[in-house]
Amino acid sequence: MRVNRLSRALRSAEDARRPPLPDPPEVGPFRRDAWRSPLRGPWLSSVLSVALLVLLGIVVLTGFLSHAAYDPGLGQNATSDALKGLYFFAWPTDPSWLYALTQGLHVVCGLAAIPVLLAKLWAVIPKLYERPAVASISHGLERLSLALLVGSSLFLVATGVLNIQYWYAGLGFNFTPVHYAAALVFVGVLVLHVVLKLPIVASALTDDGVLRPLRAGRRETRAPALERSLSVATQPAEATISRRGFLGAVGLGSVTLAGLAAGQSLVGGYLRETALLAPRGRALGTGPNDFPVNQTARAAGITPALTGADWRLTVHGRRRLVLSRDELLSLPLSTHRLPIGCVEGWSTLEAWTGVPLHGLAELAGARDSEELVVESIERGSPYGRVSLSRGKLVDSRSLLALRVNGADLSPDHGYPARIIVPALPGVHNTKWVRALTFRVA
Amino acid sequence: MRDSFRRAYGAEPLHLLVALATLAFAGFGFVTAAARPDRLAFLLWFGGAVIGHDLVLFWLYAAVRRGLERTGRRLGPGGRERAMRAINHLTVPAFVSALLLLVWFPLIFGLGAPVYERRAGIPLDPDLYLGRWLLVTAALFSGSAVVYLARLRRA
Repeated sequence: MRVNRLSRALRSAEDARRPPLPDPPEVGPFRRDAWRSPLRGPWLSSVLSVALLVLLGIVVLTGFLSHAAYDPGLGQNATSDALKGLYFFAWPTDPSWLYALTQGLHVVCGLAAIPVLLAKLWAVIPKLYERPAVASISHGLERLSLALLVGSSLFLVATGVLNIQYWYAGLGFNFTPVHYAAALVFVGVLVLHVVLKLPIVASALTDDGVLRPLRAGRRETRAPALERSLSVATQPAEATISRRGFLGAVGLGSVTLAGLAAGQSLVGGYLRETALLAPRGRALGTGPNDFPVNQTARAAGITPALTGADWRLTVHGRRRLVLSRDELLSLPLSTHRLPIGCVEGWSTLEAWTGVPLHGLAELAGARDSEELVVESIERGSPYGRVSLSRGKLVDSRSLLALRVNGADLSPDHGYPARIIVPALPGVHNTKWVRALTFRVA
Repeated sequence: MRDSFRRAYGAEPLHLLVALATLAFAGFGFVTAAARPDRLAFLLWFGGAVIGHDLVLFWLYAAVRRGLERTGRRLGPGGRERAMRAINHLTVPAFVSALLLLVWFPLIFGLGAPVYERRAGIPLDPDLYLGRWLLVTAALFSGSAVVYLARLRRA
């Protein structure tokens, strides 16, 4: 079997181990017989690894897709310059709920992974105290990578969880670029970990069967054979819970965490209020403007004086236009039901009315424009100026929205005018727009 | 040649290649974060994440669990079997409730309230999420009690 050959090639050679560092004394947790749970062993670690790989695989993929959704190659869009060249494709506008889905999955699967991650750390913790602490150079590299793996995974989960709760005081750094950089650390060491451990997982699940150990009740639960892993107890105590009970508790934790938050990711409906423990699952009322905002006008420093009768939209293209809100309302308008998906994982579906962006491009003599630069009245925000790719301009549903659900936009929702583009991350649907520049060659 | 490499390194050459490639990539990510002006907070957080669970959190919950088991054992051989089962009906809902608290404590205790209110535009009533968490906790323990009773009757 190919996996076994790879396993042999990668396995640390036991016979070659010689301790380059003095060992920790054999006391406390460094004594192997201090670890008593009969549950620990290759099967339990492997089952948790597979679950974790699936959940964190989704989290990593949707995380990098979220970065791609900002089109970091355009203008000042990139929140981090690291690996900017990777994002060579323009984020699509179809299906319109794409970003709401990927970012909802990112947050919900991230939450669901937390109990599995903790259980996995519990299952392998005796290995933290293994002796010799560093047996060879290869062993030292593996242990370094494990420290980075544990550190980066807990870092990502903890900072993500604090960010969606707005506890920035507890963070102390700019979340987006640092979360992204830590994800690069995580991906690097995860690849090494998977390559090294995949053969062990495959043989553990082959030897024990994927489901067979679940059959044993608490009293039939025995420790696996000693030689199979360092995590196996040498003098196992009586089991206090069966393996299925343990995994059931972990699963209940995942389902509860995810289930009490997932509602805020739904674009509509009463299920939203099932998000009892999530920042944005709350019902806001029944008015046309009663749906969540990422940021209020007050927080963005938008005053009535800036958005009153003197407000004008400047459109640059081959021609320059200056339009009042009434003039915009007199142009041909379209209405589309489109979601806003927030990077924090919540979303909302509303009916927006406004001037199609391709109509404005035509008025400015820039139908062939490759890039639209949107500027907001809001100052000092990284999203005060964003670039939209051509694909967003030509989609007939992309709007400079003036009204929502039949009413004027409220100040918090971007009055006098805001961008609404299908499948675009919420913060790129710029509010309080003051200028549009259709770039032409 | 290959044997002497194995002796010096402790594994096959392929191991070294994969380890260097992946660790270099991880190092790139780490340096990207550590080169920023807000690096101090990042380094403190990352260091905390490396040791925070394994050296602190693990030992806290291990001590709680061990305490409960000791209490169960003291109930003597007759009550022991029932006690073992009862302990799990306490620790499982307690585990889920503690998880919810661990994840949502800033919301439950209103730590991010000033930012939340400015950003979301709605008040964060200090008791809202605390109340919800307590209700969910009550539901978890009630569900566990119902299952426990059902299992006692069946036994």
